[in-house]
Amino acid sequence: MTSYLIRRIIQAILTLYIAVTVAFLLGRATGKPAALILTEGATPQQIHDLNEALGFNDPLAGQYVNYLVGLFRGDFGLSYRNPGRGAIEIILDRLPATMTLALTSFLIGLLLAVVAAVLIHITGSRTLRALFVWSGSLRQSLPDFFFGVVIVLIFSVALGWLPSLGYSGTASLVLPVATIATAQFVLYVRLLDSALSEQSTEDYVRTAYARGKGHAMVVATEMLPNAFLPVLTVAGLNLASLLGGTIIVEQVFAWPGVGGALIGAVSQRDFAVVQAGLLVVAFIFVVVNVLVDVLSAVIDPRVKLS
Amino acid sequence: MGNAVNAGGDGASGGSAVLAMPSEPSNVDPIMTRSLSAWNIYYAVFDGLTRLEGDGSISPGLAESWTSNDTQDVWEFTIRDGVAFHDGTALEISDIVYTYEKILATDTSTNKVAIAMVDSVEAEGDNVVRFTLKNPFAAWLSQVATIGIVPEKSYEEKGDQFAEDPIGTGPFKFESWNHGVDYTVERYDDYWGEPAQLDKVTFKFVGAADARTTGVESGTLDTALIPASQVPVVESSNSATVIDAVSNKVALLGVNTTAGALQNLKLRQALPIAINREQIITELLDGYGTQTGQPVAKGVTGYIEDYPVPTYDRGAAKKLIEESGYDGEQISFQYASSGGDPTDPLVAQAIASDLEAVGLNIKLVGAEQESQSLTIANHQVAGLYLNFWSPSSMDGDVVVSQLLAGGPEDYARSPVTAKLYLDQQAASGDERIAVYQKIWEWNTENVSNISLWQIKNAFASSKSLKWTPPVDGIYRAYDYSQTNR
Repeated sequence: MTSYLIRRIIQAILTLYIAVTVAFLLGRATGKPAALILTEGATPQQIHDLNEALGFNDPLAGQYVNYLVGLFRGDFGLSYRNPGRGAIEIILDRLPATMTLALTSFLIGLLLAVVAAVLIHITGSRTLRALFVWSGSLRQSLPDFFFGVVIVLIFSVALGWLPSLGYSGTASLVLPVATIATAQFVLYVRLLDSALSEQSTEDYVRTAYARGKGHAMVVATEMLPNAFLPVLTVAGLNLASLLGGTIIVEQVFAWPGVGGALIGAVSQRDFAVVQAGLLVVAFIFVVVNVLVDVLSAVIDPRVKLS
Repeated sequence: MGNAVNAGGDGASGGSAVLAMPSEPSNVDPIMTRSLSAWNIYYAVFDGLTRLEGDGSISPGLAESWTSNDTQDVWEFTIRDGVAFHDGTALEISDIVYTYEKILATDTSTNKVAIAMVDSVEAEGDNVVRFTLKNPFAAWLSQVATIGIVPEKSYEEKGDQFAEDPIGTGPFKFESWNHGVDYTVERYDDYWGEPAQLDKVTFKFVGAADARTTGVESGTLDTALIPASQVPVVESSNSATVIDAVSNKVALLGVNTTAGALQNLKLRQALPIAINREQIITELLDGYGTQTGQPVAKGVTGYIEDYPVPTYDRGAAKKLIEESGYDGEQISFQYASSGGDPTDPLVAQAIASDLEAVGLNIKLVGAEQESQSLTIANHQVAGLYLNFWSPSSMDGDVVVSQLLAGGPEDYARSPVTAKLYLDQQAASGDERIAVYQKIWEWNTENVSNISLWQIKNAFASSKSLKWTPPVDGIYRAYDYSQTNR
C-alpha cells in the first residue's frame, strides 16, 4: 500500500508538471497580452512598454524557468488583470462555489440512482425499470443549457418560487443542482441496475436467502455493496470533472465557479490565472482518482493496489 | 456653477435594486483600471472633477467650476468645499494631485494612456488644481470625468488591496465585493451633492444573455442589457418592461487600405454603397440600429447632425468595381465568431454576401472576440473587419485618434487627418465641430473605414424601477429609484 501510494504520488507530480507546461506553452502561443489590457488610445510604444514591464518580452525559456522556480516556492504569480490579487487566490476564491455545486449535485444524483436501482430490484418490476431508465435517458438527451433554462422558466419566471441565478443561500442551489443531478442520474441507474442483476445470480446471494433473509434486506445489505464497485470508478471520474468546473451550468445560472473563471482568464490572456486554474483542476483530478483506487481496495479486498 | 442641490430631510426614496452587468470588472481600482464594466462602479463610489451624465453632457463634479486658456493646454479647476471621503476625512487638493500623479507614475495602469497628455498637475492655493498639458486637448473635461479621485493616505496604506475595500467621495459607499458574484454599495448619507435615492445597489455579474432576461422576468434582477432578439420575450412578460436607449456605439467596417485590392480607391468607394444597411438593421438587428455615415454616435462630441448616409446602390457599386480593374483577388473579412455581440456572425455574413454580390471575392475569417481585438490593436488586419467604437468619454477625440490619426486602426496614416486631429484638439465649440466635419468628409472620400450604423440598446427593467437609460450603457446608480417599495 505504501509503495503503491508513493508511486501514485510520483505519477501525480509528473501529470501536474505536464499540465502546467502545456498550459504555459499554449498560453504563450496566443500572443502577448498588453494590447488587450490597454484599451483606448494606446500607442505601439506603450503596448511594448507594458509587455516589457510584465516580462512578456523576455525569451520564452527564461519565462518558463522563472515560472517553474516560482511554483516551487509556492508562488503562482500575480494576475495582471487584477492587480494585487494572486492567480491562485482568484481560483481558490471560486473553489467553494464549485465544490458546493459539484458535491451536492453528485451526491443527490447518486442517491436518487441508488434508491431507484434498489426499488427496481426489490420490486422486480420491469415497468419501474423502464420508467426510470426512460425518464433518465430523456433528461440526459436534453442539453444542460436547455434543461436549465426550461426549469428557470417554470420555477423562477412562471411560479416565482426560486431565484433564477446567483450564489446566495440554499434556494439558489436548487435549480443548478437539479440540472446536474438529473443529468447524472440515468448513468448511475444503468450501472447499478446491471451490477445488481449480475450479483443476483451469485452464490452468496443464494446463501443469504437460505439463511432466511428477506428479499429487500438481501438487495440492500448484501447485493448493493458489491454492486457499488463498478459504479465507484465512473462516479470518481464524474466527480472529478464536476469539480473541475461545470461551465455550461455556471453560465446558465451565473454561478461563480472555477470553470467560468478559467474561461474568462483564457480570453483575457491572464496567463498566471489560467496556469493556476489548470493546475488546481489537474490536482483535483489526480487526488480524486487516487482516492477512488484506495476506496475500491477498502470496499473490496480482492482489488489489488499495484 | 455649483448646481448641486442638497435635498436634505426625507429626499431619498429608499429601497434597493439589482443591476446586471454582462461582465465583472477585473479590478475596481480607479488608479489602475479603466474599463467599461468598472465605470458602472466608479460612478457610484467615486467622483471625478467633472461628472459625465447619462445623456453625454458634462456637469460639475468635485470641481464646481473650471477655466482653460485659449490654447486649451492649461486647465484650472476650482474644487468645492466640504467634500468628505466615506471614512470621514476631508478631501484635500493634495488627494487630487496624488491621484493623477500616481496614475502617471504607474506603467501597468490602463488609465495612464488616457491622461498621457498631462505634463504637470499642481495645487494652486487651497482649492484650485492646475493641469498643464503637453498639447491642446479640447476633450479634457470629459477625460477628467472618467478618473475617480482616491484619498492619498488610504491608498498609500492599502496599496494594491485598495480595490478590496475602497474609499471614495461618491454618492454610494462600498459594502462588499463577492468576486464572481456581485458588488454591493450603500447610500452615502453625507454626500456633497444630491443624495442617491436608493439605500442599496447591487451590481450582479451575469454573463449569459438568456440568464439576464429570465433574471429580470423572475425578479431576481431589476435591470439588464439584453439582446434585441429577446425584446419580444420581455415585452410579453407581466413583471418586466423593455427600455430602448440610443447608445454611443457605432458599428464599423475597418479597412486595411495598404494591402492588396483594398489599396484601390475606386474599389473602396464601392464598399459603402454595396452594403444594404437597412436590410441588415431590420432583419438581423430587429430594428435596433440607425444607419450612419460617421463613426461617432449622436450625443458624442464630434457628431454632425444630418451628415449623409451612403445610399445603397448595388448597380453603382458593381460599376465602380469594374472600373477599378479588380482581378478577383481574395479579400479577407475578419469578425468575432464568439465572445462579441451574438449577432456579429450573422451581420458579417450579410455584409460579405452584399460585397460578393457586387463582384468581390470575400473570405470570411471568424475568431474569438479577444483574439480579434488583439489583431486589431496590433495593427495586423489583412483586409476588412467588423468592429465597434463606443467612446466612454463621450468625445470623438479617441475615435479619430484610433481610426484616422495614427492609432492601430489607421492604416492610411494620412498627414491630412493627422493635422486635422491636432486642429480638433486645439479648437473648441462650433469651430471644433467644423474640424470633425472635415475629418468625416475626408474619411467618406477616402474610405479609410466605413461607418455602418449606430446601435440602439435594449434594457429589460422591472416595472417598479425608475431610471433614464444612459447613452454609454454605463449605470449611474444615483439616478435609480424604486416606485413601489
